[in-house]
Amino acid sequence: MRDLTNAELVAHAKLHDRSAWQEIVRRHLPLLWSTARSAGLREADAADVCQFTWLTLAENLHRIRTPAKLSGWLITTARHEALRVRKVRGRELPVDLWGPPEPNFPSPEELVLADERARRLWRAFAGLTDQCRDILRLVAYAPDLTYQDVAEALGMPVNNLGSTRSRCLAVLRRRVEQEARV
Amino acid sequence: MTLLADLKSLLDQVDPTPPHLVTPPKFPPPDDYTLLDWSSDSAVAAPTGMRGTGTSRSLRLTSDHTTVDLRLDTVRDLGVRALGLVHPPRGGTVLISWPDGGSASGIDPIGWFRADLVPAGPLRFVVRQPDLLDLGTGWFVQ
Repeated sequence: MRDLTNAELVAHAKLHDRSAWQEIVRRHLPLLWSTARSAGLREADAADVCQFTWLTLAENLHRIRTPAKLSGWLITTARHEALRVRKVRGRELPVDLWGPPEPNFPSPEELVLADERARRLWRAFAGLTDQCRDILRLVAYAPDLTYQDVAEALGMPVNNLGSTRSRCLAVLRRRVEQEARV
Repeated sequence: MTLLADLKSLLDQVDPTPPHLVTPPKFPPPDDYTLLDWSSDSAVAAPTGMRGTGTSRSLRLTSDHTTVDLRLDTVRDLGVRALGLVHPPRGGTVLISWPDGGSASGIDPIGWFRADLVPAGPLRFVVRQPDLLDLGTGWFVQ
């Protein structure tokens, strides 16, 4: 199953092939999890959004017009629901996982990172804008996504995405290098 | 691309996907129903409160011939109470689904139905009325 394209997996899933479903979940779960968490959801709510996304896919499997764009469809579905759940939960938000770390103390996230290189990357990433973090997270987990998919998922104009992505990546690279010189 | 690969590895370490999510959920069979339009959702219009003290959410869903008003009260650590009104009233049943189960609530002559403490998380309501196509909310997280 791991060699099949998304379109082929959808075709198998329509025939109730359980292993196709498992591969769809295996392939996309980290992306959905990251999408829900970056919307500011706590773990339990992010897990609900992942489950919601699979259930919604199961109900709409026969209506998906372009199965090759499964990844984009899943991200868009998960992100829309994650934003709605965030509103349902009101103003109480979990600790900002993606926010910048305290300047003088290692963050809990840094403490779990074993080597200095990873800590530098984390500090550089955490210091990016929300938009840059969202874009780079998506393309890190799903490099095959088209600009159109990413733009739809994030609610951005597709025209700017290529240049914004390049700029975000350049800023990240530069900040990692700066961290290394400190 | 190495930087993006490093970033993916980093995110996996900092916020790993819970292992229990790797197993696909049991999918309830997709019912053959007409999707209701979401006319209003208090969660979208205005935040309704703070998690931890319980929240109320009001939904209005419509089709060509039926309106469903739904009030969902989330009770901390217990679940969700649902109170709904189907109008015009025609009797029938509301089927409530969650990922690994479901329940049915009768619609009274005035159009009211209620369900006490269904599990919080993904839910779906399907209204089954005599001689009409079923109407459903689609899945949503409560």
